[in-house]
Amino acid sequence: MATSNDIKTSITKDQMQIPNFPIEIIIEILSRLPVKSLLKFKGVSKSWLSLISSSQFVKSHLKISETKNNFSHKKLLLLSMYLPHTLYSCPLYSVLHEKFISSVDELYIPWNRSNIIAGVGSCNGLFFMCIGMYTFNLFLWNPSTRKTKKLPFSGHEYSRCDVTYGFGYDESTDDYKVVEIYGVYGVQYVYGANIKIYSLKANSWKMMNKYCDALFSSDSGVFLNGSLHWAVAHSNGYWDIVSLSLKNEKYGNLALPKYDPGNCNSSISKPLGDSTDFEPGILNWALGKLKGCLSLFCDYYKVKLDVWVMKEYNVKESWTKLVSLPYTVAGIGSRISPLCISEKGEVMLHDGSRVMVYNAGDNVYKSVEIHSMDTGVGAATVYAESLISPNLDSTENTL
Amino acid sequence: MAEAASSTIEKNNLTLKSSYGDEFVLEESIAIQSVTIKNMVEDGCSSSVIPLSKVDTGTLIKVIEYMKMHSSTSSNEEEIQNFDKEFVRISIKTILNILEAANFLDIRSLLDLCAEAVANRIKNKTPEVVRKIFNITSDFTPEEEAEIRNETPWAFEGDLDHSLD
Repeated sequence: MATSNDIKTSITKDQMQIPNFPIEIIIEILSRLPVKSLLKFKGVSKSWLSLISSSQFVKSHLKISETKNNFSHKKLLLLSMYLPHTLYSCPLYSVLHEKFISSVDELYIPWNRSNIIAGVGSCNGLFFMCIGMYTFNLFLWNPSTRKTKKLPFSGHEYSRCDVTYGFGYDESTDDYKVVEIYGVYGVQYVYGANIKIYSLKANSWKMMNKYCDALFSSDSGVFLNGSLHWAVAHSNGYWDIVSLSLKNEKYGNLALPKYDPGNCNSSISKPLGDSTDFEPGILNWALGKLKGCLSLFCDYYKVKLDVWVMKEYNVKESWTKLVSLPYTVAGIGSRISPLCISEKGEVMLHDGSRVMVYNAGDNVYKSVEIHSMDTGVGAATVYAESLISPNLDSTENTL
Repeated sequence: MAEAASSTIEKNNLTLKSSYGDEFVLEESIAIQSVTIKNMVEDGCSSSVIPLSKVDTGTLIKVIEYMKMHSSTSSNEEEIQNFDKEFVRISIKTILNILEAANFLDIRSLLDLCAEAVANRIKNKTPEVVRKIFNITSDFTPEEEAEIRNETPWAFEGDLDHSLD
């Protein structure tokens, strides 16, 4: 990551127009501004323009929005419940602290709104979006700068049911990568038949080594620690977490916690996403990311959802059960997806149609009313604003 | 000054001297929140008065107030949070002075607090107002400025704050 010293030396002295005011302080202030303000302040002076446009600044700004733990720099992306889809964004802070969210921005979206959003991944303020049901358009999109890049066709025909994606950043090559896993199998899993990887720098797809016969959860991969992670079921009935390093493109396995098996009648537990023939207490699982850690959501149908986090990456003993979210409390929907956990331990979640905040202390779910989303929230995800451009080939991010 | 150096300076006390020549006595354990002062103490050059030629008296009083609160063992997290909130309820110019001092004295948490506060105060302001606050003269031609606006016209829309503070 760039330090303010790196940035300082990259701005030549004669560009500096601020008398008696150290550039490192300007960097400290600007690094804490929302992206919209930064785009506006490019118009302050030539030195501010070149500072805000420099790749070092873009990185230091991202670092601050990502690491801030008081949520003031994070946002919640919200998808409308029904087609045509509208996307909104609101400050995460207000979702946690206000009963009615009025500061909601409708996002500019570069694709046809009547198409469904079939896959999403996000990393460093950039979103990977798979749009459409039978014909796909793949986009990299920065909702904060409104910059978009349409990705080339990966070269394969398939229906949505047979594909899962992952999106992440390879720090070693300063490159963004999309992983596409496609095969022929049912609704809940994707058979890991073929795996392709896209590099933004190369702007092309290539085939990867196959992963041994296993079923990938159809949820998008979770990006963390330089790797993508999927919940994977093996043919002999057990399941684990498969990681794929974006640096060396090698697969790995992560150990699971000692979770409560629930009323497991079938030998293979199912991932979230399959809603048919469920019995109360049947375990379904999904991966996520909370407090910067890999998380496991053990959903015991209509009973509870246990939230586990791996506090230290790839250390089995560090798996900790943070909280158990009951389905038995009145008013909660039938499918909980945890979104984030506040410092006080409140859990922000999506319950299938709304954003809720759960407080374990009084065992209550508080519904968050969001302006212009009266018809319901179809999905939600947390992201940090950034200036990262989806067009690496453009020169605008370099001095 | 009531707090000015007395004749009986304890061994674990330091004297900080502002650019106006005012002296403040402070416990060493409080003052070493400043990495700059800590280094001076460790290098043994703090036996006498520490001159802070870049920090005026008003700013130094604020910085000491901050350091005292943040080294206090009797205040809990909530009290410190409330103190921080109140602490930055001052003019932007004053926060900028404290930022310069925090930068020079190397007090990371104070720098974070003040940078965050300035960012919050300026985020909705116009480029024109920001120029005035930071004492910047625009070096763009009107055409260049129009070009920047046209790149992301939506960034210049919405509730714009034209106030200087």
